[in-house]
Amino acid sequence: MTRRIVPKPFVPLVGALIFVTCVASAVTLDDLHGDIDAGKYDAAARQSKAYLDDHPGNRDARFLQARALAGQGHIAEAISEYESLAADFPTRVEPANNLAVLYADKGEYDKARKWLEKGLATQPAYATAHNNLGDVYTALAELAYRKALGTDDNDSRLPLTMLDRLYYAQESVAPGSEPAPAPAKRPATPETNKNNTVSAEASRSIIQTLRAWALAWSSQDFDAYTDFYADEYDPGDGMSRAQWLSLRRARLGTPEDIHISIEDPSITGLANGSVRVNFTQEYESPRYNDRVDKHLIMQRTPAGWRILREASGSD
Amino acid sequence: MLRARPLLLFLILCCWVPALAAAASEAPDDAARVHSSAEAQLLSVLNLAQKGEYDTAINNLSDLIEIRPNFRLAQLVYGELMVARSGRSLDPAISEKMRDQREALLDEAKTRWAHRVSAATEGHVPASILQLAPEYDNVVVVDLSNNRLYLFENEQGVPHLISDFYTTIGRGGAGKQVEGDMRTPIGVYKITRYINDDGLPELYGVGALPVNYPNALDRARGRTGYGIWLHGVPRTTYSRTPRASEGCVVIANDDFEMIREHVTIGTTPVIMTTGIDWMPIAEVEKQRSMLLSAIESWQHSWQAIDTESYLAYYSPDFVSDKGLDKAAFATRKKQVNASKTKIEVDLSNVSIFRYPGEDEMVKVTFNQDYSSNNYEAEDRKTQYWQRNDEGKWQIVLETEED
Repeated sequence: MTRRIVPKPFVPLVGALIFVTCVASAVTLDDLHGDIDAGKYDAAARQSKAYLDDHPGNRDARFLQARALAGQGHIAEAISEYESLAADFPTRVEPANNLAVLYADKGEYDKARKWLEKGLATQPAYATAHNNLGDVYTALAELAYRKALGTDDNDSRLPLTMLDRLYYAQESVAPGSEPAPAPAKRPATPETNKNNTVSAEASRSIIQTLRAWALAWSSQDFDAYTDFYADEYDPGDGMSRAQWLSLRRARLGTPEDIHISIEDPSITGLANGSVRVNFTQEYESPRYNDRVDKHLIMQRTPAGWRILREASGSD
Repeated sequence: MLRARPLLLFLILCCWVPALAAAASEAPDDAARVHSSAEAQLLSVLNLAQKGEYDTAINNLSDLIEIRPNFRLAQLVYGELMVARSGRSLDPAISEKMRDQREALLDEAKTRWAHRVSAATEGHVPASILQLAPEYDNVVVVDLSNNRLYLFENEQGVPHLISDFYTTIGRGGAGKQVEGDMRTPIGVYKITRYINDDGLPELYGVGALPVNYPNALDRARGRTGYGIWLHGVPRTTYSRTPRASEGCVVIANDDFEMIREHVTIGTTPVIMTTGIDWMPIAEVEKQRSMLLSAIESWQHSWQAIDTESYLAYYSPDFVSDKGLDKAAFATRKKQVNASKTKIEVDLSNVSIFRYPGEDEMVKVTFNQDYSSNNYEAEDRKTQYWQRNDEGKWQIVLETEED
């Protein structure tokens, strides 16, 4: 299967504002979006309540009401509304994402992590939630490090990075349309793939390995890095493994600060049980930066997922 | 090899040592039974991570650190898993001091991981316990090389493993010689008393069980220092790294409490050794009967008032606890025995421990009931026997105050 991280289209809300002043009695979802967008949370809370009186249980209005409550600072009520939305619509990632933001604000990062992981398990292609989860992981790592390594001296404490890159999911469906149309193109769930499916568990494990590989590279830890390559790894261009090793050793050993980041990984199962992972690789160092599409062919071994081939380009 | 960012790699590397991996998959239930619960949970997390089941590993670990936020190693493993998930290294934010602490925690991880399946096997006992008298309900054996404390109960003379625990030893390692060397002694000791929480600074945790270092042999060897205890940890931490004490044996507070509930103050032997030789019970019995027959012959020569044969059981290097050397001791014995027409010596509660760190030496403890035509005495005796170059077992040290 192919699993691409597709940013959710940002729906323009500005148009809705034009009509707000003309419509006095009947509140529309567009009005609510406009209020939220303008930070008028009191109005949004009032109007969403009015809207829900007319349209009991409306999913979008409930979502917007939760956002308004959070904006007003009524965190407990917002959490409770999001939790009931998450229970009622378990396949939507937005309530889970926003719950995670609220919990993270309270410093409850582990709850934030669990909500994001849960949301992404049902709706994997959601860039905002992925970014949020990355930040939550980092915050959790810092907290754990501080508890593990910190002493009573203040100077050895890790400064905690506040989560300032969290984004609220904008809305649950396109505004102004009711009933909600089926979302344009949802990424296919694993079950609907005809062949060579990669299980969710395997996908997790592959992505995990990919990140660990990038981390070993960034850390310039040659042994750890090369251990990610299978014994049968083919460097290509008729190069022997020994030649490849010495080349990589020279590259990794160069004393400069390397940072590798991986974006948009997508996994496709291949007929022989191996997988192909496409991703965008960003290489940063003081002397050289680039951003390329790459793919790895990986195979499961008793030691975990290992690289059989590595190539630039996504074809 | 493993370098500065070790733990993540440690987790990955775990599965590349086939023997370890096989052992891990064989007996996780046994491991859970023997080890203390916090350690068992951590080990099962490492096991899951090794199998690539990261989701379950992370959730179990997050439960563990919620219950035990002071379990630093568990926190570090969680941190490493989070780093792996986020793909962003925290190394730039880590000070030199924290790096050292991380290295020490990695040692703790390796030590605990190496013992996730207990070294104890059915039908095998530590070679150091050759005979265990009924007076001892329990024995503690500390493997200083592997940071592991084993608690046995005495099942009709056979040591039966109750549980084993991760432990911290001295910064200087094993084999204490002089005061201040930060080492943990090697030898056979006993628990002398119990100091509870109220009587202790926070550093020692929930309690302390001092042992009788330096014992008679240590004193004869000229070893100095004092205050060797088994004790807990400050409540800010669940455990300490493998080499962190000033010579004491340090155990997690919950483990300490479990040990304390079993031991008898003033009695329970504590054997501190580097590595444990697990021996089949039949082999132990063979060695025991060899030593018992030497002890019996010594006893018989005494009862027969055969002073020459009796003195032959004392090594030329012998020292009595009154400081007498072999010649002075012999003179004294000859004088005493000259007035005897009848001697009866009854030995009870005989225990025999092979002495760690010494060549062919055993420590024998017993109660001695002596009666003769003109004198009677009941004594507690400790003897150190050593096999000489001709293969004969002889007493090198004898004392009533070990």
